[in-house]
Amino acid sequence: MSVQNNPFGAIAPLLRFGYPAEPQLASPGEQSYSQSYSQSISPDTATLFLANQPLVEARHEAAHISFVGTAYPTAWLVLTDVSIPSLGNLTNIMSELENLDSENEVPPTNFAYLKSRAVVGMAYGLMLSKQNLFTMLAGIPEPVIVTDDVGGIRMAWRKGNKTVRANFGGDEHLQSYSYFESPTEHGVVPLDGGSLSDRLKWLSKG
Amino acid sequence: MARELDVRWETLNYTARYARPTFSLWGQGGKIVEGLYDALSRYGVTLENITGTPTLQNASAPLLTIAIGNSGTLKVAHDRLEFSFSNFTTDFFQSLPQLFSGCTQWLRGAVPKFQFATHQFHYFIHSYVKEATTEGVLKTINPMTLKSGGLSLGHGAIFNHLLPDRKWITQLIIDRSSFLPDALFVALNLTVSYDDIKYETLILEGREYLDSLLEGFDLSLPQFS
Repeated sequence: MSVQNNPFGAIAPLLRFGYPAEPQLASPGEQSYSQSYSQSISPDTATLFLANQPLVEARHEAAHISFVGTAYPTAWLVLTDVSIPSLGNLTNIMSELENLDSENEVPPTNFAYLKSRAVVGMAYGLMLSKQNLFTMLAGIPEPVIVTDDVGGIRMAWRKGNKTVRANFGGDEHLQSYSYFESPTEHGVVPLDGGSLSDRLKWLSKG
Repeated sequence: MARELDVRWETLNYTARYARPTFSLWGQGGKIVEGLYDALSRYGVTLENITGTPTLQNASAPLLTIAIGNSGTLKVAHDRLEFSFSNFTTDFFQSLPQLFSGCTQWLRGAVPKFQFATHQFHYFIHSYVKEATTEGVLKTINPMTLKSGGLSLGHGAIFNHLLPDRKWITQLIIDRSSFLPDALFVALNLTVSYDDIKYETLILEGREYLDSLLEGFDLSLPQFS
């Protein structure tokens, strides 16, 4: 049913507009599982609600974000502007990890590939400002990524005279660790999302 | 000791569906705005925060969207209220029962024989797990793998429950986040199918219920500060 006349009545012209039409509903039998998120709003900005879109893939493709209607209340759906967490060069890193097969003599093992994805992804996620995920991650250089002779993955971030390296062993029996170095300090720490995140924050401070 | 979640994104959506549309409020824009303004002005809502929908595609579309503080919205339709709050403070969260009561009590006063049919709460977080990986957590919850599917990034699970004594239907979803890299997504959907709920009690019980479910995964929410 289409309602051409606004049942809200005579006050409508006095109110500020700016919200688009409601999204079309999908078929009633469809059961969607949505990892929605919503961005808080101020009176002058539109609300954002995004349904089930992979972050990294969707990051630069706001236009591709689709509505998931069905049983979800309107408030969970996209309205206007789209903002999603900005993870700096993480997309490029993930893309490079995927291409290591073709760019290196020894391809990475599945173990190293999955572990590097998980640890680096978590490290970048943890660097986002808590509860302000839309602030751009800045000051993190793009790492050099290569494989070692047994399919492990080595990553190195350099900024000024500081270096952070993450070495992912080719299998669970080979050691994975992170190494950091500056003119005044250096050390080796266990390699996990939290420790790599801390070291990359240290690096980004120059 | 349970592994604590390091919450990076938190949202509570609440949808209250009416037993019958509010036909008596049709065309009563001033009355609707007045009622909601009175209910919400204590939360800083002014007329500037109230936006009308210019053209309604159907009679169920929200008429109004009201921005509440920096963390939420209320959408008002002739068949439901939709609240959505994200990344709120503990103080604000604790004020929600009063906010919900104010808005729903106004409707009861404004519409003869008004009743709610259902109340749906949808709470979800995207978080990291302190001293653990998302993949590791998920592996203990859903160790199943599908060899033909490719490399496993960790699989989630959905748990559906009925609590007859409380008249609750719940759904817990735990999965990889598709919002934050290598984070954990946890959602609790709670549907109550009776009219008059006590928000203070329900929100407290809902939180305790989620705590108890997470305990089953050896996870815990951060304590209120």
